Amino acid sequence: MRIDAHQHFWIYNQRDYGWIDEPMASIRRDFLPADLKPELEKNGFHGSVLVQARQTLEETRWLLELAENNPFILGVVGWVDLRSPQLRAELESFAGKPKLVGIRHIVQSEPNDFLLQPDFLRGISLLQEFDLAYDILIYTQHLPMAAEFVGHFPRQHFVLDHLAKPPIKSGAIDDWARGMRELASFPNVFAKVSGLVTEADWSAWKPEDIRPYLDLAFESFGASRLMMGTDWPVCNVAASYTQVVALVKDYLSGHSEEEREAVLGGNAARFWRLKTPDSLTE
Amino acid sequence: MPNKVLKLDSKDNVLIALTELRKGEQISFDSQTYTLETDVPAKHKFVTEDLAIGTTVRMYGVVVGKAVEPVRRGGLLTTRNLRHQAEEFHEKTQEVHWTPPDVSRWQKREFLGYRRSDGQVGTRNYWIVVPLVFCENRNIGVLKQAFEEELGFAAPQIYRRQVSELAQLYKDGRAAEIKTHTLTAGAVNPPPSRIFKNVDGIRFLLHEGGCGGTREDSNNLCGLIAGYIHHPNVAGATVLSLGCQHAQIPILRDELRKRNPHLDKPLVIVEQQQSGTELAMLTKAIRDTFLGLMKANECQRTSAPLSSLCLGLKCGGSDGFSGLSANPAIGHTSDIVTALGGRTILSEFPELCGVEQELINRSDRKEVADRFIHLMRNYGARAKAVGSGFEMNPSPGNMRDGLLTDAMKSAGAAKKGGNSPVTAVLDYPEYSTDAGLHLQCTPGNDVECVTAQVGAGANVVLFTTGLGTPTGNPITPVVKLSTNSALAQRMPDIIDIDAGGVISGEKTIEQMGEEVLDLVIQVASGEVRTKAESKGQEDFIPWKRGVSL
Repeated sequence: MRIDAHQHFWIYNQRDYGWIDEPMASIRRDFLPADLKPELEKNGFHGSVLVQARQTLEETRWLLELAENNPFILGVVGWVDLRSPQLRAELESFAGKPKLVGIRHIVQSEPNDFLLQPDFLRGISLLQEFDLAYDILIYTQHLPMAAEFVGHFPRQHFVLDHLAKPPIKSGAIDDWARGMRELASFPNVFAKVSGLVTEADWSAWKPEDIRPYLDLAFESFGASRLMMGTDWPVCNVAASYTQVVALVKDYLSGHSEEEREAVLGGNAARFWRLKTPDSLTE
Repeated sequence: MPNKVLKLDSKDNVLIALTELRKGEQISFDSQTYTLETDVPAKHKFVTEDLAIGTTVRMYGVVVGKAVEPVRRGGLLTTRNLRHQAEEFHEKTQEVHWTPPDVSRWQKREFLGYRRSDGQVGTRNYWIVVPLVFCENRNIGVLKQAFEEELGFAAPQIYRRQVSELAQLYKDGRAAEIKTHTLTAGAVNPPPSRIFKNVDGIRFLLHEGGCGGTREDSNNLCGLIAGYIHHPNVAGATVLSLGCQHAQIPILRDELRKRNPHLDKPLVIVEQQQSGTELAMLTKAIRDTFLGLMKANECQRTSAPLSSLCLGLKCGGSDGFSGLSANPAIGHTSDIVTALGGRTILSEFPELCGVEQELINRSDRKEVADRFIHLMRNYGARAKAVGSGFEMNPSPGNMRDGLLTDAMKSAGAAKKGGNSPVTAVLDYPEYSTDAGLHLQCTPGNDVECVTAQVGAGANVVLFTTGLGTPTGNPITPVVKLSTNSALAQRMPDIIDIDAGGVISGEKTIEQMGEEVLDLVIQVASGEVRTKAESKGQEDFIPWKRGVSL
């Protein structure tokens, strides 16, 4: 089964999606299941994991509703207020929603030591009881702190989004490589090969620019802990859905079929225990 | 913040400032108004009546000091106008009846622990390597270098990269850049994957004892080490002896027998003066230790009741909020755990100075009360004999943050023990066996105390701090609580849980105590590793009570 491990939907409005700035104007419109389904079919994907963009409980409820109505959405990574004293009640309110498989908080825009704050950590410690994985969204400079963070939870399932957004455009690699190796040394951390075109030169990127970063990802995490994601529609600022998928498929052409299938969906299915839909057209 | 001041007991003649108060400010409390003579910093105290020289000051309902200068109503208490004074103590004056808290929601809760053959349950699975005398410290270091890296237990070398960068600049003739170069914060090499997946680590304990001092100290060291070997967090141990030291192997074996006559853990004991060369001794130690680790790796976590918890209760780097938030919170945690049949340990005798009578009254038998009185008086006398009585306990940091006298500090410190009956008194380095709250004779010294609490069987330590201390223990997870939220925000890398919500009124002491117990269960089960564990804080200092000879 082939799965896109990272995508978004939204109904665009300035207030909720103010982060989509002028240079990203091409994605300042609605993106809904009907837009994604043809792309999945064209590229041989059976389903996707839908990830939060807004940081509200309403977002989580809306994403789960979309998942209920669209069988190809195999799982949802939602948002809850991990620092709230009411967290347990918030998580319990989603107890009847098996498609909620994970939680993400947009850490990349928080102060540097956010990942160590006691009240945030307390929230993370609750996720295991509810069988929820956690998506780590950070930049390169947060990698050492992320290693310390995951070290506190030896049995929690973590997945690193977008390979921690390496500085592909500048070509810098050393600090990022070091941080990645350290984070990869924790066996309970997986990583998404996603969002890489967004870190490259949007108008002029070439697969050779991205190859060294893929090499390091495979060297440190290995084919058994990596999963392919498109980060659609954000990827549209730099590449089409098909181009993003081709980038990873071409890179994998040098790997065994077993490893290819693992990265293109097997690992995601295993990591989140996703259930297959019978068919894309229901 | 809802309240600006707090009064702890109707008998008190002080109010505590919960926030910064200004000179001239009018404070209304309990249908009285006070005009402040000076600024009153947060955590400090002002008096509610005029004090003549010699008038006693009461807080928490007990005497915490006496005025040595006249102090006007609304005046700030300082280390200049206030001296330590504590109430006398003697045999039980009254029976105390305890109503345990409702623990029905905790009855069915369990944690995942390592069940040992003697019935104790560990929260971690370690191998320890320990010298019987300081002469073997270097050999401990050699074994540490050999085992840690190879078996994947070494910590990432964060700071080594920084030294390496500076060294490179220097070698390249770029020394001028050293003052301004931005140092990176990443690790050099990630650790190789662990060979023994069920072993949490190998801990190499160092100390300065075992010889060259009093017999009491070398015997106590053997007792402490026996306590660590007997501890349920320890799967097995390697002991290095020189041969001629006071702390002889037979003494260690006696202490082990006292704690467990049927000890069946792998135990490797080597003696340098027996083996001959260092090479011969360490070769034997390495092979036998590896065999022991293979056995230790067979241990797995299984369900255990909360009555298998043994909590050390500690405060360090305390401030004026310790006795208001974090200490009473863990006191409630202690009440729940003892009500469930578990053990808790309250130590730091110099910080029980002035509150002895309450603890005596809470003792469930006369022998328990008598033993406490005896050990307390004995320790107090020994301290006075060397010119440093208990009243000298508070540190500069304590005093800056409002803990002006030892009695004032003790009144807040004793809150860690909650309200349950005292069921046993331990001298150092005895091991805990009965259920309930224990009083253990140790100093207030942070590391000597936690070292001792773990030596008595504590498998989780609850450590409150107002100023922020990173300390941890080699074999037992130390959960660090901040007494105030500002500390949790400023030093998040050392704080596990923030009790500041009690000060702001967001949480009650009971709610906080229950939240702490939830975290204890996660830590005990290995689901959560504490900040001190992450940092590799393996502080170990055996208490030395006597002179060097």
